[in-house]
Amino acid sequence: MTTRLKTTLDPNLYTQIGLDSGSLTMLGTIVHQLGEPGEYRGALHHGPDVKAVFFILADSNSPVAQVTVDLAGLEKAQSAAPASDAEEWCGCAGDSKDSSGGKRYAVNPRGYVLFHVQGGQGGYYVHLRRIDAAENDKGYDTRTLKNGDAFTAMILRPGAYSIRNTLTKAVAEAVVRYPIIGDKPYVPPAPVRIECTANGFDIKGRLDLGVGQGLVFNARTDSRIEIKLEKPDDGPRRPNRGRTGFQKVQLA
Amino acid sequence: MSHITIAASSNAFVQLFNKIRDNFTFSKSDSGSFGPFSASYSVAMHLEGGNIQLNNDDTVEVKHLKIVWDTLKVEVCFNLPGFCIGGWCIIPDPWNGCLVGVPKICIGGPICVPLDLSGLVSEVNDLKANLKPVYFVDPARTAGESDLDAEFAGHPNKWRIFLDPVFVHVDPIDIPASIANIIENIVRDAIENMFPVLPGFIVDALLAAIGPILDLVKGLLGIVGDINDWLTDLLMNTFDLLGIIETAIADYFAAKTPIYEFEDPYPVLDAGPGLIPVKIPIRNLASHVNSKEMIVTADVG
Amino acid sequence: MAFTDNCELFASVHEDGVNRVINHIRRQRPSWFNYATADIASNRELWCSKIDVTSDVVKYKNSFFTILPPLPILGADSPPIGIGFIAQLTKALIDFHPGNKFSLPPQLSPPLQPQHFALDFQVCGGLGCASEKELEQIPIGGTSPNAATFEGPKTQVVLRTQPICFCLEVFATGHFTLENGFLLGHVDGIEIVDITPDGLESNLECYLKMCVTAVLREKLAIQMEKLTLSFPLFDIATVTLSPSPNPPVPNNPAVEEDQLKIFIKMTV
Repeated sequence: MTTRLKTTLDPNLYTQIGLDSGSLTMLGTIVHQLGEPGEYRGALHHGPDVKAVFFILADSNSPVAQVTVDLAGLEKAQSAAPASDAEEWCGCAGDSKDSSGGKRYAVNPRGYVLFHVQGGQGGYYVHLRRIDAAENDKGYDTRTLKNGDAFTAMILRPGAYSIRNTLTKAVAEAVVRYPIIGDKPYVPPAPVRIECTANGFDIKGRLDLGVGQGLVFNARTDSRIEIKLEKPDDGPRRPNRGRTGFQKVQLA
Repeated sequence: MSHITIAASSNAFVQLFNKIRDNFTFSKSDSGSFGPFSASYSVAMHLEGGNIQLNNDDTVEVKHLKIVWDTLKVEVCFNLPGFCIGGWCIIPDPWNGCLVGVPKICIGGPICVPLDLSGLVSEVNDLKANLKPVYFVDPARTAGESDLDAEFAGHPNKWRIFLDPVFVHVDPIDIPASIANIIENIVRDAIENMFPVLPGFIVDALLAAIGPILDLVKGLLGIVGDINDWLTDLLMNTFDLLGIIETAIADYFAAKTPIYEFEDPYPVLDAGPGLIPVKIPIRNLASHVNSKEMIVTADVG
Repeated sequence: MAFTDNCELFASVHEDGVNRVINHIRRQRPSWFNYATADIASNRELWCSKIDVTSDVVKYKNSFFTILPPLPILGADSPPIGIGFIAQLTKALIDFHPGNKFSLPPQLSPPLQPQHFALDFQVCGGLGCASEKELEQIPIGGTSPNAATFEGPKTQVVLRTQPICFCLEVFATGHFTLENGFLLGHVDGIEIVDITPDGLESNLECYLKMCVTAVLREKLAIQMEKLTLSFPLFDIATVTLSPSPNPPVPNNPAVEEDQLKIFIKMTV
């Protein structure tokens, strides 16, 4: 008797241990507010390479409060087809295709852009700049979270972690508890919200987290958050999960 | 008075019945989608046993005829929600819930639970039938053929006596309650075996998120009572396997397999060198039963 | 009382049904009812009785007659001389006890005895009779006696004849037995009506008895299975069928109520 479970589980979810806001992976997101109206050109970087280009129109008349940019999807679309074909409709108001190449988004300037990685190994950062910006305007780089940005992280691997803001040198500790199989379904607790200021994190003592529980780092100063596994927790010893071969089901 | 009378005792009738009963086989497979889940089945069965009673009202009654399920495989597929992370709010909107939320990532997916219930036995609770003589004209026979031509061509006419069911009542399969444990183990194994290298913490996170597996499965499939009763209902009523089997059994006895069959005209002397066989026409075939015997009468035409 | 009170399988056939079967056999297998030499068989003008057959007999070119060698003329050997003859069974009727189909002659001690059957049949036949002119073709002094030495046996010469037909009314009585799964008829008595002298009658009766007995044993011994119209019990490997013994069945086969009955027991 064989049992099939076609899972949606991306192995990067559990093989990538640790997070870095300057190198986005599946378990992290960055929220950024454009603030000024105008058209922005975004460049998706993976290391030194530019993997894709996209555009965001910050339109004061747009009713869209959040635009979600899947960085993995951008790279995939860019590499799979010619630029014009790779464009995909984002479902956003004001979305349209043109011949300039790259996917186009629209959002209200007071709304938010959420960068995330839908699948794959990730490791991206984004450089965003107004098309009509002055030459000395370097634009926005997700490797440096700005005041008002948010970085979210979720941790699946149980164990002890260190949390570091590499720009302010702030540090903190967190422990992710090993899941307990109980009588009721486990639901990750509500996310923990952390302020990142020039004086460090507003955390008192060690963070106690459940598996998959969210962390929201609200940047109040330039920040880059790194979360690193210091000591894994492998939980109780598991029974051998090797193949047992065919076994006829015995009905009582 | 009829020219020919043949009578078979109830004991002899039992032998006749057993012969056609043992030739009965049935197999079928089907699948369907039922909202939150889909299911398929593959069945093959034969008949055994049965208590046969001849009645004075010209009926034959068979009780407790066993249905042996040589193959009874069911597969139920549903979407296992598994373990979801994300989906929560990053920037709340004081007026309207949430301005920005984290995309949800779920670890789970469609799962199929194959159940092999082969070997189970249920029964035809009651089958009541009349004897029905039918004159069969082979459709292959052409208009100009004589009886002898038809015999030489291998398609002679025939008299057939069928057991024509008045009703067939099949009992639902009694699936044992232990199937619940089997389903639980299958789902657990499915989760544990998702990936050969899946880390234990992911498996445990999944199992922890799922909680009691049977509760989850029952919730997903909308099962209110026992899971074995639900499975029986799925097969017997949703897939209408009961009706299909009852129809197949009725059709088999009533139209496919006669209890008694012989050629018409009936050959009394075989062919020889330069000699055609001698065949006599049989007319007015009738068949009846009483509590003691089956009686067949006929005339020589 | 049920048919199968003392058996598992019962079969009976009424004398009217048997007589129809005889008629079907007569029309579909005429060569069992008609015997003649080739010269007479080939000339329907010489037949004693018209022959009624089914279209299939003609279509499949079955012979109407069993062809027999000519009857030798006694004393003729150079060359041997033969004559044609014909014998036809023109009527055959069976009567199961109690006798009611026909009346038996006194010589067969009517009424028909219980558990017995009676036969009434008519035989028509004739010996070929040659004309004077034909007889004058026989060589005077015969052919050379030494010819046989050099040329082998002399070929029989068949005279052109015309049968002088006559018909005999014959009655017989008999009984049935079941032997080795076959229903077998036995002739107990036979009587040819109105023939003299007694010695001739006795000779003919004995000959006919031998004929009837031979046919009953060789051709008309009927399998039990046929009597039941191939009842499917015979096809079941795990079932053995045999005649019911006495007791509980006193007569098996039984000839009673104008029917022939057989009682079969079953062993599983």
